[in-house]
Amino acid sequence: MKLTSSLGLRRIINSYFDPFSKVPSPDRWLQREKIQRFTAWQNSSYRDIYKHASIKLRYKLMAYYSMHRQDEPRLEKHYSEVRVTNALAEHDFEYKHFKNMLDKAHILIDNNTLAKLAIYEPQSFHSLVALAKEMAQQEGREVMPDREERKYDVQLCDSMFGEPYPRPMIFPKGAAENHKVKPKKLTPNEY
Amino acid sequence: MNRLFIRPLMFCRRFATNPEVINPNAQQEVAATVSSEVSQPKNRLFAVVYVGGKQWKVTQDDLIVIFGNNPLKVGDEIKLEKVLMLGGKNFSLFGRPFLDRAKVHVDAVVVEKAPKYPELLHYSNQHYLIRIERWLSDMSTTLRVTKVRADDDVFQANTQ
Repeated sequence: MKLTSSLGLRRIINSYFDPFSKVPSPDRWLQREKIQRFTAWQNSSYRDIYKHASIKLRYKLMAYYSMHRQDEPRLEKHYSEVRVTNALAEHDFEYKHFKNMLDKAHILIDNNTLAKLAIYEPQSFHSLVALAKEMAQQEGREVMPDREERKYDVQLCDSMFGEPYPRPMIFPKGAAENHKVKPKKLTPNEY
Repeated sequence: MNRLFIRPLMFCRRFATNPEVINPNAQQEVAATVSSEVSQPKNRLFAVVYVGGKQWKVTQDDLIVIFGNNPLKVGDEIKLEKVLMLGGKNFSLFGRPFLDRAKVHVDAVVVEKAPKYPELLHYSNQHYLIRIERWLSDMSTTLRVTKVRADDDVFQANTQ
């Protein structure tokens, strides 16, 4: 019997679907909604027409998402440096001297946290600036001292002027060795 | 790359510096102030702690989210030991680089463990018909800081 070719029957035992009806295909609107979640705020046909929307998503939005993911930590770093610089300007102090002195004193609070301290804990930040100023003055750098009414009594010891910790290495051109090609495993004969 | 900057912090404890006492009277005055501030439980303290490759300024009841795999489970109580700074209304103590972990208590509870929101890695080069699209995800652990306290002799412990 050649039923299959003439009737288009699927010979699957215990099939989920009735052999005499078409297998339901997955709903295309689900896929379209998935795309529209990202393109909902685009202009005209890029928002309304699925084909245009998917092109837009592929070539513009996804590239932007990816760029944003990479840029976010860098921007945070940059902006916190700007914030710390501006907070120091309020105390008539320079960023380079401040960071140098903190490095020498082995106070390893990073810029992101320093910016938060400057904004939300101004007294703590002021005390830290006063310490760094005093150190910079003892080193013979040009520093504008605090006004009398807001001056801290800072007492320094010799251990404040230590050697800064070694900075982590940065490889702008990538690692020195090519680790993509892994060395081959030793065979038992070669041990 | 960003983690490279912070990672060496872990190895700094062995280089930690020992300060000298130059004016015992002033030091006692400061110590008395700090211990009186710290001893009253009503005084709210904040701390800068190093968790998950980042520094966080935390106080009691704060929520922080750290990413990556770690052996923590929901409900675990942990002590954050890398305290870079402790502050209150009238004092601030800066560690060089860390404060004495026996004297400063920053406790936290794991309240949630969930996958992170997805992030996209997308690369395309139309000349070579290359299109790489990967949705990146990671585990996230949410901690609630339950306590930021210090012992009365925290100042003396960090100046000896």
